Amino acid sequence: MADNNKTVVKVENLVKRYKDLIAVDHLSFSINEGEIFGLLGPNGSGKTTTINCILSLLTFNKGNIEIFGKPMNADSYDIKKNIGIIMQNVAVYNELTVRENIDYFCGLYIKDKKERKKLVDEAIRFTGLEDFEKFYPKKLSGGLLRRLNIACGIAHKPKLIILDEPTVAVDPQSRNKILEGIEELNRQGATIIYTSHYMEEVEQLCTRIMIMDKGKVIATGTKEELKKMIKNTETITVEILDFDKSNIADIRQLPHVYEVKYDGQKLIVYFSGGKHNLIRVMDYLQKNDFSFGRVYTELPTLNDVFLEITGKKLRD
Amino acid sequence: MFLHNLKYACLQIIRDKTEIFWILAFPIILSTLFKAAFGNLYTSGELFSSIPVAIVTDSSAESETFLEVADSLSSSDDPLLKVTKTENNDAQKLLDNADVDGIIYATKDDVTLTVKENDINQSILKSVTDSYLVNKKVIEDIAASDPQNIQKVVDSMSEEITYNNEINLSHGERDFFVQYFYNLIAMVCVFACSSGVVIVVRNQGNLSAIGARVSASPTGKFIKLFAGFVASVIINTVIMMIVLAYMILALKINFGDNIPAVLLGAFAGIVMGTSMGIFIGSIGNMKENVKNAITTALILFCCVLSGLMADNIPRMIQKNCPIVNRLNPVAIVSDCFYTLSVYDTYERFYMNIAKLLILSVVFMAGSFMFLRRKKYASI
Repeated sequence: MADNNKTVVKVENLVKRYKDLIAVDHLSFSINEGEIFGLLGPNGSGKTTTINCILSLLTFNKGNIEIFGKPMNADSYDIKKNIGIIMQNVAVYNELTVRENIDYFCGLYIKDKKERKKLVDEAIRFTGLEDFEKFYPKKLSGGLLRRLNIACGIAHKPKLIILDEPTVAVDPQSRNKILEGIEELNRQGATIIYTSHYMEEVEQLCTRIMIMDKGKVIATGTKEELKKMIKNTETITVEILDFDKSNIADIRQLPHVYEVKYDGQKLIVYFSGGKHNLIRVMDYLQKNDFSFGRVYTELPTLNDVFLEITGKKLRD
Repeated sequence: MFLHNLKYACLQIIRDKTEIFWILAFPIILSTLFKAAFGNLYTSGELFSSIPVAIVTDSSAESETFLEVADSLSSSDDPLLKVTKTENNDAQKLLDNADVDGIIYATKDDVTLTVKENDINQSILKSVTDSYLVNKKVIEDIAASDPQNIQKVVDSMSEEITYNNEINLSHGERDFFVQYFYNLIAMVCVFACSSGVVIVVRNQGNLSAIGARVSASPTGKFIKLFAGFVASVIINTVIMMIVLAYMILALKINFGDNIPAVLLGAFAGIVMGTSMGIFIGSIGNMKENVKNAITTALILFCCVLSGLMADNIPRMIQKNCPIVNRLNPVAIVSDCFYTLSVYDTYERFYMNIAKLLILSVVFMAGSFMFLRRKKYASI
């Protein structure tokens, strides 16, 4: 991973309105070199609009955008040279083969034929499309098509790669390959902006995450920092019969417990901080001769963060 | 960068099966059908063939007179009738089998016609029998009232009176059916319009995902658009040359000495068609399929107005609202080829070429105005 000091993208007070709808509402953030920066939010939260504003594809009503320390606008070809984009919708030509597509898009950035050939070969290898070079996009599976989409966006070795929901409608195997590829690109030095509404992907991949809702920033930080923003640190669930009110009161007295629920023969205990919480719950159950079924413990997810801050789930 | 874009724009057009169908397969199929439909009419120039007719007589002097007239009508170089003299039963069989178009009964008392259908040939036969009866009556009346002048009357009847003097505008040998092929070429030129629409849609970030990716690249929009325009003109022109070669070599269509002019007209038509497509593509925020549908409808409407589908419509427009077809780009392309088939001079042809090029410049300038903004209000 590269040095984290340099700011690659700086967005200040960005506002984008569609008539009465505010799609992006006074958004400010910055992305440092070498980061995998996740934009997480439900559909319609303003992620793609933000990306399109950053790329100068969309006009915006207010705000400043700087990339590589320079103001970004539609004519900033020197900045655009170092950006690679992978859109949510696959953007390739059905009339061109896999290799031709990659060569065409790479050629929009790289003039030299020899250099371009080398880069195209690398992109094909990187995305594992060696066996499909002469295939037309219509002959490719959904996963391979997504990989071609990525190859077209990264062949010119950009310093900043923007991936807008690149794994939508992709099978788990292809999704894993794509995520591994993104991590590898980051290891090679690229700064990455990754938008998704899949919290698991963002958690797995991103070094820093910005959660958005209704065009606003809800929270920004590493996943650990985000999780610390909420009360819950652990949730323990036990399948158990005949658990009465006095038992619930006893559990509530355990250290770090802030809420207990017993519903449908399931005991759910919420903790805020503390270690060995599970051992304490087990001790109590054994001492009181309770027989119980499955026991599982869950750490908070970004969905819990989103739920606690907005009162709704990410996929609502 | 331009050549890189040009190369891939050419590949995209060549591999677009729908596009290739309309600019290559469609004119080849339709011109072959034209040729097959015109058949012998086209190759030999025979617009009329002799009408088969059975004649039944009763051996009277009157019927013999009619037979002499019928013989004269069936014995010239370009005979009107193909006469079969026969008995009534055989004549009926011939008519039932459609071997003849009618039966003429020439008897002592009358000359009558029996037909089974009402068509042009039957009308001609009716005209022959009616003329015979009228002339016979005139001669009989003159013979009765003024017998010494009967020869004068017969002579005057034999004279062919022509009130109009035919002047051929084209000094060369004019091929009557070549206009159909010119119309087909004109129509195919205008099909370049759809290439123009695709070029724009694939370069505009607010119209397609490819457009967004291309717009985010450091290559200027107008380099990509111009490369697409040049690719469309090159591919459409090359394909037009193939179509023309097929018409000339395989179908033996006689374009006379006009082949270079046909190519020039086609080139100008393709330039105008592509520019018109780019112009349509640059208006509004509709998606590619919507713009394609609008373009197809517009092309067909312009083709109808220009007479490429029904030749009485331009006459009607010329009479009631002549400005329509003066502005209709398809009508200008069509007129370009029409002048080639009709006139020996190229004055009006070059005027049309100039109009097409001016229209192309207007379309391109309009497109520039619409496309010059580089950011979009919505995607």
